[in-house]
Amino acid sequence: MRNTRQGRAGRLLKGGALATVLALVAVGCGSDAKSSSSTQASTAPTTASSTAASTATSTGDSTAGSTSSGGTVRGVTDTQITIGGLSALTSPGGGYTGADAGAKARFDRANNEGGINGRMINYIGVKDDGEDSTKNLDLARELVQKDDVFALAPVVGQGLLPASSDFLEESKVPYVGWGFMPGFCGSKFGFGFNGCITPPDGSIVNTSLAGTLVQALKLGAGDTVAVQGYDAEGGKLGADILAAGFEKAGVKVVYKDTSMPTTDATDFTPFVQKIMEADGGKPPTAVAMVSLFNNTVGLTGSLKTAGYEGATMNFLTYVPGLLASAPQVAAAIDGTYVNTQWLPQEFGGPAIDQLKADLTASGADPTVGFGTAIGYWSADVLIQMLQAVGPDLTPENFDKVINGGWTYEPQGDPFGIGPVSYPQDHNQPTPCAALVQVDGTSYKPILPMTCYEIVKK
Amino acid sequence: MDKFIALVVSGGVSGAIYSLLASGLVLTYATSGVFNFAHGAVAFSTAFLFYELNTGLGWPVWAAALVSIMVFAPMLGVLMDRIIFRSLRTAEQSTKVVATVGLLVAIPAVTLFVTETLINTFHWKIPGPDNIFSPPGLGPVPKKNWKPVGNIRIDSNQVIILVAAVVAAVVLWIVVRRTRIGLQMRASVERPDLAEARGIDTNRASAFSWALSFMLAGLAGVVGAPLFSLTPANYTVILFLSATAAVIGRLRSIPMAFVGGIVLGLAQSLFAGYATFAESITGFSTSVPFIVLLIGLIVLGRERARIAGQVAEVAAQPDYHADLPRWRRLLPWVVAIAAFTVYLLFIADEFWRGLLVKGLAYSLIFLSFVVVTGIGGMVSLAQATFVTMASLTTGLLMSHGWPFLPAAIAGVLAAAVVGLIVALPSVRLGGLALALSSLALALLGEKVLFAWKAFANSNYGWKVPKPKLGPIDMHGQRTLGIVLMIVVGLVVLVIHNLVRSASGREIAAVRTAPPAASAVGLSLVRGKLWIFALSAGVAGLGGVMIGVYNGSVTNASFPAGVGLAWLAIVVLFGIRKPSGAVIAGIVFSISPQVIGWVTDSNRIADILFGLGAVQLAKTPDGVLSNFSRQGFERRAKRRLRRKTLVEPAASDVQPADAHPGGVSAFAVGSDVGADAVLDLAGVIGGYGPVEVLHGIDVKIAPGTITALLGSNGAGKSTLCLMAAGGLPAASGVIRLTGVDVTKSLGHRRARHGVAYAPESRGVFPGLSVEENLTLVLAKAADRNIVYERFPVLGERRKLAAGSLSGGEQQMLALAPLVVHPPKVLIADEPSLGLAPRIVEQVMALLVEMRNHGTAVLVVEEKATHVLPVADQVAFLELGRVTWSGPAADVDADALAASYLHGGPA
Repeated sequence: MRNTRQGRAGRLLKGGALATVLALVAVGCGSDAKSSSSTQASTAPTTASSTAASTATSTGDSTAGSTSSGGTVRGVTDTQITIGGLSALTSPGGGYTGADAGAKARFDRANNEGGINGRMINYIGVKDDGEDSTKNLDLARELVQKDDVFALAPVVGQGLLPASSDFLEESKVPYVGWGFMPGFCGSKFGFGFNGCITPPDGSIVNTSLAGTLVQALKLGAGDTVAVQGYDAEGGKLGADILAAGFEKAGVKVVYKDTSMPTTDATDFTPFVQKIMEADGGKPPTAVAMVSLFNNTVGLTGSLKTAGYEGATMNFLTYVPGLLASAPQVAAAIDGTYVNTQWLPQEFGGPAIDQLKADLTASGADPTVGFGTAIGYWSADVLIQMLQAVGPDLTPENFDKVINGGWTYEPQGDPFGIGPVSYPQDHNQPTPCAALVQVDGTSYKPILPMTCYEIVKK
Repeated sequence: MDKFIALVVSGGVSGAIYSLLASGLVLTYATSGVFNFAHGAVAFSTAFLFYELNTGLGWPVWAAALVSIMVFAPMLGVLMDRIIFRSLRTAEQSTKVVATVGLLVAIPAVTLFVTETLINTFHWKIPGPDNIFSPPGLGPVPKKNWKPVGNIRIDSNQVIILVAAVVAAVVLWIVVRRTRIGLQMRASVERPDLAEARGIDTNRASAFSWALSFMLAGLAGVVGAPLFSLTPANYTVILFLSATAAVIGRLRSIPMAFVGGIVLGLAQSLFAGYATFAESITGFSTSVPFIVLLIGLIVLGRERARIAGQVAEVAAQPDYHADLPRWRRLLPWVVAIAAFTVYLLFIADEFWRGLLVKGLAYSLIFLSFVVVTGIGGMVSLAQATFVTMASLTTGLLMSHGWPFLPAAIAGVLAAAVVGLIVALPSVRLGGLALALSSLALALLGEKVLFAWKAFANSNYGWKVPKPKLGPIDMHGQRTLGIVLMIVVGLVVLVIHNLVRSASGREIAAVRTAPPAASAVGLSLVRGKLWIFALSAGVAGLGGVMIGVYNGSVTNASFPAGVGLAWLAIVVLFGIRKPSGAVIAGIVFSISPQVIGWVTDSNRIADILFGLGAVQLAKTPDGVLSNFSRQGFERRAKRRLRRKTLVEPAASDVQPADAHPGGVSAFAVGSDVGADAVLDLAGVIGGYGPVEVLHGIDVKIAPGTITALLGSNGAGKSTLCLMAAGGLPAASGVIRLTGVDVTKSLGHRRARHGVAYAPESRGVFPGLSVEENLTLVLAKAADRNIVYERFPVLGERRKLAAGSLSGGEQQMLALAPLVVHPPKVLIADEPSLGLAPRIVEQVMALLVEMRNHGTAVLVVEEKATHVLPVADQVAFLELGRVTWSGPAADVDADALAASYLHGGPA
């Protein structure tokens, strides 16, 4: 999970963005180390910079903070609210294509329905950081200091390091996105649409990771599972949390390995050998993987070749369009289960219908791609937030209302994303997930968005 | 046991991909001295083209493979050779590394940019570059699986990779070791000038090796594609792993590199199968190849002091400002700094001020490259590691309550210590080995040390609250900017002092003249270690200041790979001087914004890197130095104009000396007339702005020996070079048997029948005696004539020419000429350093060739040996012929006089 690497040339060494991010996102990985994240900034020996008072000084000499002396609010007029996005639309490994279009579709509908509390949304689009953290901070500053945005949605990508998220928090810019970076955990103005996915508190167990498979296959006592992680801190923590989820459900974890290299072109034989003998010389009932994309595909395929007949599950291989365009991947992972964090379009229903209708109405491709879903749900959450804050729209009010106790209401059945509550989900993920199964070149719906619980290890 | 065998087989087969990539790496390193960091990028681009042709446009596999591997890749190789690699052959190692790093970024960027343009602008219906997972290779889709024996499994993709690797290694070995073009490639690498003099088109040899190497990269890319996601990053990582295999092959032996790849695959597989302890250290399994690489470099490097290739002797950078007074040299900087300060403090808005402040912090990091590479002559690819080390240490300590200043000092020291650790095992190795081992350690640091939770606090990192030192409160960006300007200024001062220090001078001595330096007993290890540590400290200081600017530090801010890009940028602006690094930092910070005004594409910045590499090949000292040089040349021209305006009368004084296009008191062989084989008329020329020959007229008839005598510095060797085509004439005409060959240089001159025996021995020391002869005498029968005539060469035909004695080497150089006497032989001091008995033999050879009708031009400093055999004698002094005439007219007194004051009376 600490495969989050950026910098222009950092890309040289970085795996495919999506592949690594998916692995990262898969599980709430965190750390029980004493965090210096902004939640604890106030305990830092020197003056914390997350306090409102320091805004002006820490971001510069002039006043480009949230409110200027004249009483006007950055990005808000009587008639409109300026909103931008900050994401990796492109990256050497492929970015979140469609994130821009997805958000725009949702904001367009809000405007068509008359805006928010009388104000229209002036959506200035997503600025693309190309997964480069240095560029991400430059763009964050540009959005705040030059474009005067009130809020950001969507925010997604590995470029959002603490340097950027701290700046946004100091500038009191609410930002909504897919919360797998530290900036979505413990930051007053950072809002993951499904919470803080990688909380610093490593003892938090998101049982939805194991829950969908347990529920779908009715696993229980007598069943065994092997958990394959990868050789980075995130891979270890992810495997721990996943294993804890299975144990809580009464399934015996007979194998947990986190030594799979993070470079591609891995030889899977050693891992297959170990897994096939994991349950006292026999293969386990199921194998769950928290690994990088190619290793997931490779290990799944190799297990099958070796004659493994149990279930396999991962968090990465639900990528709309993937199976049709990559028959060799489809063949390797045929039959595997995939746990997802938002409702796959294959389930249909009112939420998906609305999403597709919004895309069509704003002139976009109605296929719900990976980035499209992120952009759309980020915008959806922000819109509900803005409605809740009411006509008196200031960052301070936003903070007071949302962080004073607010919950996103999922729409439709099955719903697109689970209910996310603040301030609670600044520090934990929403334990909701869906499950699909690879079936030839399509994804078969198995379990719609289902919410489980957060427990302590 | 079953398990073990299964692991061995699967590991070995997986290792074949490393073997395949490594053999291409070895090929170009062995034939051009360039370690191509862009090899993986070429593999990516070829595989991407294959994918678009096959999957995108529906071409059959064979057609797509033919076009991408056999056409696209070799053509790209030829193109890159022409615009970049060709000019890099004699460049410094750092320049080579940087140029290929530039390509590593640019080649995939161009590929993706073209694809995106086709899709977005021209609406082609082809798949975009996003999310291409495990694309099809040459084999069936889905892959076929076999279980030949027991528990051993193998699939069609693995078999194809294995077969491709074996075939490629065998074919390559044959091409390099057993074919004429292979021999020519090796000769071109060893001594390009001599190869040209031997009639070898070194450019063609170079182009051939690059085409072949790119083709191999392409093959590796296509057959390996099913194993990876099709992203440039994956291919680059695999390439770094393959470098390990290449190092096991000592970067010279293709078969050994092949074995190295298999060994690496085995090591990984067995490690994963048996080493249970590894799991407890995060990142250790992933780092196995880097550890193998490091051990390989240290072990193999020890054995031979350095692996293959030459450490280029570097000409000291000319001081283009030497002609300017001190105030005039400083003026532009004073103005620039003042303007910068005013803009930073009073004009820039908050956004731009931030960019400039960040740029100053980057300038600090970039100055560390000036220390290690610009002054130390070492290529470090671990600078990002030092930045991360210092910033994490500072952040960690501050989070434990340390005040900023001591925490920052501790951070900088920690970076310096890590610098020492990186440098200790490898500083002796120098050159490429140091670059590779620093990269291995950087990756190791990233995967293991910075992944250590207690140190890096996961990816949360640490806060760095804006420090307040007494009255200086760095909360304000203006204050932070001023502090940074002062810190940058101090570091620049330190660097200036370093250049003038004892260590600095020692290092400079070793870089520009290694043998001389070792002769005076300079041991550099301590100096180099100190410079490496200093550089790491400076980089660390930059990291701390960026941490201050960002307000936080994380292990993800500066991944190891970013160090490669930084190096490229610094070199682009000039790595020898601090000014280049400072400007590079600021440009680096603001360039994304500036590029953003022009285009939305994130690829453009990457493509500019590539253009940078091209530019670099032409101006290895960087853009700034190029400006300085142009300024210098402009001023020189202006001075010249002024001079000619002032002294027009001076040249009228001696009209007798005037010769159209040149001035020469004597013409050598003026009585030869139209029979002359070699005819130099009014030749003027030298090296760059330095004119050495001021107008030379030489005519040589067939079947004669002309001795050209003169003291050191008279221009004898220059004249030889110019006659042999190794140096272009600035003006004048050179004719061979009446044909104007002034413009045909190098091997083309050789093909007109000119043989050249340069001042040092005219042999390729790394090639065997037999190979040396084969270069000139393709037929075995011809070589046998040589062996009969010189039995000692026959006895040693399998030995490297470099191991022969001086006399034997001279024989080897001249022997082929006896078999096929050339029209003209130009011999530059053939008796230098030889025993009298050998000199006699050499002179006898010259006479023999004269008797065969060859026109011989011999240059000697000492006349004793050559006078008895010469027909004509000419004296050269300070670029002019001062006397010429028949050898019989020369008497010893006159000869002595010629060395004191012109020719004999």
